[in-house]
Amino acid sequence: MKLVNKILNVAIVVSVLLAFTILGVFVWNIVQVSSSISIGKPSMKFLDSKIELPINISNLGPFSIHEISVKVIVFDEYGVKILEGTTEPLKVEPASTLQTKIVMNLNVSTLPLEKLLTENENLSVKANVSISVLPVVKVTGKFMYELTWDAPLRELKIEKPKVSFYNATRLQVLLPISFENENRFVPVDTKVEVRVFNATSNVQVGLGYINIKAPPTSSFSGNLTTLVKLDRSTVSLLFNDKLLRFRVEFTGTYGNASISFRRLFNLSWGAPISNLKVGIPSLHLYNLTHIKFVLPFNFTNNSEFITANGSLRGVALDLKNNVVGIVEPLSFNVTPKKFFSGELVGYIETSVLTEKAVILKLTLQTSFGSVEIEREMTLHV
Amino acid sequence: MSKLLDVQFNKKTLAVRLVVATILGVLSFLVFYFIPSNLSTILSLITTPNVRRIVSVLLLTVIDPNLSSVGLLITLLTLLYALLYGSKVHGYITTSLGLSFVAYAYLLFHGGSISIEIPKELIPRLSGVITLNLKLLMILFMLPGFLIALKGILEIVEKFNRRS
Repeated sequence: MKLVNKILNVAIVVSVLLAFTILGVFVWNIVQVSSSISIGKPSMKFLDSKIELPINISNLGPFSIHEISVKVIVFDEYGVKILEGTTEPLKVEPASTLQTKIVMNLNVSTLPLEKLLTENENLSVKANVSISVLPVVKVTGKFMYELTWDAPLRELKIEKPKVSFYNATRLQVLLPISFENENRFVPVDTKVEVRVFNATSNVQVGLGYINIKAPPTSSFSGNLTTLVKLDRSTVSLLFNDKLLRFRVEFTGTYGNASISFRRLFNLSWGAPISNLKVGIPSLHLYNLTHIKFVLPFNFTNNSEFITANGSLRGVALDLKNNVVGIVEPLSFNVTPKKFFSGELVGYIETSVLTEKAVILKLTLQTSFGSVEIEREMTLHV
Repeated sequence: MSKLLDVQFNKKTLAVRLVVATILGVLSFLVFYFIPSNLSTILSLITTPNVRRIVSVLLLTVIDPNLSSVGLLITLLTLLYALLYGSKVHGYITTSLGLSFVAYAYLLFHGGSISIEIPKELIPRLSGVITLNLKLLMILFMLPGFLIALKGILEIVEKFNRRS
């Protein structure tokens, strides 16, 4: 019994020493591992959906560091998962140094980039971290962090476009663009490609570029100048007021990442020759062979930026389509939002007086092109 | 010469027992009761008020409220262990002391799994729980207690055999 007692006494002392020794070595191991960790600058590769974090860990041992893994999920303020990332588990054997990159694979398919760029959000970041120091301890951590996301393109505005006439098929459009970079860390420095589409027909009608530079917590305002092709019928645009709807697609590049978003803008198109009215002609005997006619006509230039200039000329045809008279050319130059009233003067042969009417075939020549107008004129001298 | 619970005392042995019991009692009182119960006050002497507040919150999670009671029990049993060495109740005291150590280790390691809630004051807007699985360490620290209890049982059995 005494021997058993002695053995027990030794066992008690050994077990106490063992417990404290293992605890001490474990603490020392953890302290030296944690002090050896050096983390490099993270690199974000949006195109590969990865965040890489260079890391250097030395483990002098004796314990093995297993299963260093991190899982991060980001939720928007409505609790919808917008981003998920997981690392591949790392292992550092005793008496070894690990130089590697913690690769976090991101699922960016659900990331509402446009929303994050333009709207402030209260995001929730949920992270699960797991580290095992075999065989002594396994540490798991569940964290929730409320992250206030300040949009780098907050209050992105396209002001009312300034449109000017470029040529018969194109308009020069000046798009004033402004935004606030409210983010404290993310600078905006990019060349933005801007494509303009006809929102109805979906046909690209313009292309332009703008350099955007806005350091953190600054504002930006600049103008994008682009030529917008009028893909509608020019005749239709010459005579009819319309609401032209455009879609502007911005594509910015940031490192390897390419970010696109779109905005709509409308352009109230005022017809340069709106409400064209041709009045009742008055006919007078001019000489023995010709009759003079005067045809009043008027229109309003409804455009805000186009000067309606051109000329009207033509011929008179009998019912058999023979030329029986001429219309004197009339030039006009009507500035935006002005009313024009004029008189067309022409001469027809007296021989056509046997006919009831003649056809006036007029050619309206403008910078938008030529338009043929036909009108019957009753003959009452 | 006086006799108490089968142990014969003279002035010298009583004095020695009292001294040993006092030293062991004070040590165990400090280690198992005083320090765990007043850890936050002790740390407040060496830390800034901010750290103190965070540490206090952490300690509330880490230190089991029953730990100090068991610590006090260990102190009492240690005193009796030294005073009544060789008595007929010493086996029972040793067993109780061993089991108290086991209970203390169990409470100290929260049954092998410690969950620490991160104080709100530590990092603003961060909340979380860290769970430490320390089963192996707990078993290691319970082992001496089990061995002491076993020793006590053997002592009881030996005393029982001697009487019969």
